[in-house]
Amino acid sequence: MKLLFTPGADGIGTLVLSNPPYNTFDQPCFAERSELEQVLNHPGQKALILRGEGRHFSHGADPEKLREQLRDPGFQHEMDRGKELLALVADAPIPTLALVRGGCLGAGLEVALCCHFRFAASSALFGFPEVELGLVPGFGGPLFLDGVAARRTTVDLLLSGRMIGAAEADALGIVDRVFPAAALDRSAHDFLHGLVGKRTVSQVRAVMETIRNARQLPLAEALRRETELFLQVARGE
Amino acid sequence: MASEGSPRLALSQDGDIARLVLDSPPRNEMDQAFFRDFAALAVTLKELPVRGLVIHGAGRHFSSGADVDALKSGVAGANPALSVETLLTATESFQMVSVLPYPSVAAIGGCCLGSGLELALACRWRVAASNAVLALPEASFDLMPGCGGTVRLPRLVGRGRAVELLLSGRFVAAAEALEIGLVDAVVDRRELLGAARRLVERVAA
Repeated sequence: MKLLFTPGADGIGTLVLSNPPYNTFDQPCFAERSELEQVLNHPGQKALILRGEGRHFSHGADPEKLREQLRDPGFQHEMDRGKELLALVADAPIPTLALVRGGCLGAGLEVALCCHFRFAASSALFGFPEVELGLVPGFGGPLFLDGVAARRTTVDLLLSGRMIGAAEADALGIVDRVFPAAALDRSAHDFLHGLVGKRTVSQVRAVMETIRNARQLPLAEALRRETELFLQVARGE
Repeated sequence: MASEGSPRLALSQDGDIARLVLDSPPRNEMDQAFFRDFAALAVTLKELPVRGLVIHGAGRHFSSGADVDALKSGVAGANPALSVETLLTATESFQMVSVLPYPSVAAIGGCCLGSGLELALACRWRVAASNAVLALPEASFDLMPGCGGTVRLPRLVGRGRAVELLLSGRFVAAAEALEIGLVDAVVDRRELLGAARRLVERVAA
């Protein structure tokens, strides 16, 4: 898997998960941490679109490779490192949007669920097929899915392993919006432009930090930090 | 508009339910005097011998929040119409509402914007009239919410929606507010205060 980053002139960059045709993950630690940090903190960038190379978002881990890797005693450590990458995405300092075409399965879906937003082509497919292979999702899927969908949806999808289309994913709250494939890129870009187009970089980062703090810090500390950020933004610092 | 000396808040007791009215119609704007009065009142709320609290605006609106120009001049420290200290105190006094030992309900009619919504978010429950419009529009004015809104909103509506609402600053009508969990109920505007009172009585029981 390669990560191909293109910063946007308007501050809306694109990160392509590239390992065609299915953009599978050869290993849990799918990128260098520093590489991903640089993408998320790229100067002047205010939002990021994540997408797959070609027709699919990502079909997740390669089951053949995974079976070999499982024999390696160091594999648990590799999974932990991979999860740290997902945490970086989940706590991104700019809004992230997964642009989903084709298959978005297993670890691919876990990456998409880390993003703040998911826009899908009407032909997109979602699912956690791990159970069919005698496995379970190992990349935080249950946790991230619980954050956007009802508990019963998490139980259903994780245990049945069934695949759902974009319309059902929309109804279950897993995706935010569905578009005909031809309109997807433009719609996602317009949406993010509506959010950050008129905002300064420091304004975007301040708002994103407060949202992250809301989840990670005790209430009193999060409130205190909000005040500091408010003053920074208001004073144009 | 209320004159400088007149009280911005009216606290009364109706049986064992307290009622706090944001009382500078038509918009119940939160100015320096409002925040000062609110801070003084907030410390006394927890001692009230009541089972619940309803907060609402006088007239059609809940509150339009703080005046943007006053806010900016206050932050710049230039002849502040709204001082930084006042804002810090506002965060604290809204926090006092959120930890009251009895349930609190914001009864939201008309506009509920900026620090107005931040106060409503500090309440345990929110009931909106069908004509209510809610927003944290600070980002549109090159600011961000500073009275707990950025902390409480994501806990209520989730991370993605909070990102969207805080960065866009867009207005949310009552029906959508209900759908995303920003308010707990929507009622006809003539029913607003009755519904808020019934809710607080029910949860206090």
